[in-house]
Amino acid sequence: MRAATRKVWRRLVVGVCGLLVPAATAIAQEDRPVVRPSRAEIGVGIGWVGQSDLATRDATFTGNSPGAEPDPFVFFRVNERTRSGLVGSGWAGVNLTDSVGVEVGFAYSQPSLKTTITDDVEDAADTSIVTATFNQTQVEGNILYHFNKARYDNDRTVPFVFAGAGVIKQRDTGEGIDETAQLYQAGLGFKWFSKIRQLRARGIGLRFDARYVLRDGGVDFAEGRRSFVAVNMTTTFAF
Amino acid sequence: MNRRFLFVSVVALLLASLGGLSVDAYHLQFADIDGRRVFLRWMQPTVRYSINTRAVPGVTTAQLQSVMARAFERWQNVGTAAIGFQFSGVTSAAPLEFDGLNTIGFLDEPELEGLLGLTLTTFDTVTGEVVESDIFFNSAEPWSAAADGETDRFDLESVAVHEAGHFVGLDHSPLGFFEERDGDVRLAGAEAIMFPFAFDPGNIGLRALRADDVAGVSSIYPDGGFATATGAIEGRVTLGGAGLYGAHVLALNVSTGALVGGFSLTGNGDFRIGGLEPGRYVIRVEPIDDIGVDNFFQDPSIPVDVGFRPTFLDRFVSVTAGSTSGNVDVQVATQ
Repeated sequence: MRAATRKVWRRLVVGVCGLLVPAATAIAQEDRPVVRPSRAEIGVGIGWVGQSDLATRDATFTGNSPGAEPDPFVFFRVNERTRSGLVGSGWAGVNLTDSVGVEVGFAYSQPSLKTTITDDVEDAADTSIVTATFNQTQVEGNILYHFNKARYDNDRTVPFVFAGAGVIKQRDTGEGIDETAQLYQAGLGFKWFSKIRQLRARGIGLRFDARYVLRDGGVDFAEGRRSFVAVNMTTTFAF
Repeated sequence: MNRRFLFVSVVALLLASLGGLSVDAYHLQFADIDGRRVFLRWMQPTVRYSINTRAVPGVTTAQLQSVMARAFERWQNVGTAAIGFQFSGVTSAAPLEFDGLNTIGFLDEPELEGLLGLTLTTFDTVTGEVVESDIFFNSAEPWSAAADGETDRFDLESVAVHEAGHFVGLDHSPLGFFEERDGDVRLAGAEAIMFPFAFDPGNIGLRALRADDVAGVSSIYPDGGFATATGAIEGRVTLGGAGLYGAHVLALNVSTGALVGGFSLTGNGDFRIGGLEPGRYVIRVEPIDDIGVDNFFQDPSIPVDVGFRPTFLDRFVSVTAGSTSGNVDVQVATQ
């Protein structure tokens, strides 16, 4: 009873903290044979993209003040953000070594913009504008590192971290949107596979990841990078 | 061929007598004659002008000549407009006299307190062709031609660019705002050279053309690429289903921050704002109820509607190059 209890306890610890402290779990399991990732994987699934604040666009007048570039006078303010929503995604990857893999991904979503107009100097009523959704497609490339020594659940689950870059295309001719942005991202997650065969993950599985994304360009009032978070869950198949 | 004088330009500084006010738009000089609407414009590609020899404290004749050259250059350099200016020499002829010369100079008009400058245009009432235009600056006011301005003196270049805008055919734009602070009413800011009130003495922040000015001069003298590079917004301003005349319609490009406006100029409430860069626009409509209707519509017989609240359109308007976004209907409510 006590040993079994310890085993369950260890699994829980690995399951909760394995993504953050893989080195510690690796030490605890170093006497076990290491299960490696499959040679290639594909996946499709859905995700959720968090909202992202865009820059404020003030309607300004040149201020009646001394100097060649006086402080502006704000006539009214326009604030805009992309709203959170669902995203469909797919990816295909190969594992170059036992730990390192590369993948290309594709995502499609239809985010909407919420714009609020406030602080009118003549007290025009605050106004909200929610645009029709626009089409956003995303192509990305990532490099992954699998913590094979931190596998748990009978080696069927492996945590990983990843980082990558890509391009986002935002387009809706009806709203006058036709923008291209670059993205830079990093995240962590885990993969679960139904089978382990010859010390490699095989068969149908699940992948979950959470990522922090920096978007450079795209729909915005100003130049600069905007950040948002996203999570994805995909069904996968390992070859 | 009938001809008549049209007084078009007053730049004043009667700030203390004004209440809070605002707003926005380019506005072309026009006249309704015998049921026809005639817009004023020069027909020749290059317009010659003369400088009166009179100097005033703070401004020599040579400085006036230099300032006017820079003022005209700002309008001439607009990439989407085709109009040019040429200095033809100094003259002893006084401005505001119908003598075949486009004369620019100082006149001493102390009875016109608060009036900084004025442009007087003579035009053909059939074709709208401008045949003569004179500009005078009121020497009763303190002037400066210094590059960085001078305390307690009005910046001649700022006023000169404004009057040159009347010279080319633009009327006043209401793109400015007066605010009350500590019991005083003062001009807080402006975003069009063609706003009818000058900045405080010593301030030089409004010498360069703004988007509203550029759109205005380009619509009068469109260069080859103007029609294909810009778009327009058309629509109606209505109150209870009835069209409003003289409502200001402001378009804010949310990508660039550019502000360009227009007026509803029919009894049906129809408006058109041209010269807009492609992009998404926020639309705002307001009455010109604070700044004085006669600063924008000199004909007192024109029934300008002012009894409604400033209102934002609850959607964006998308503008694409070379096309017009129509059916932009803004419904406003009574104040």
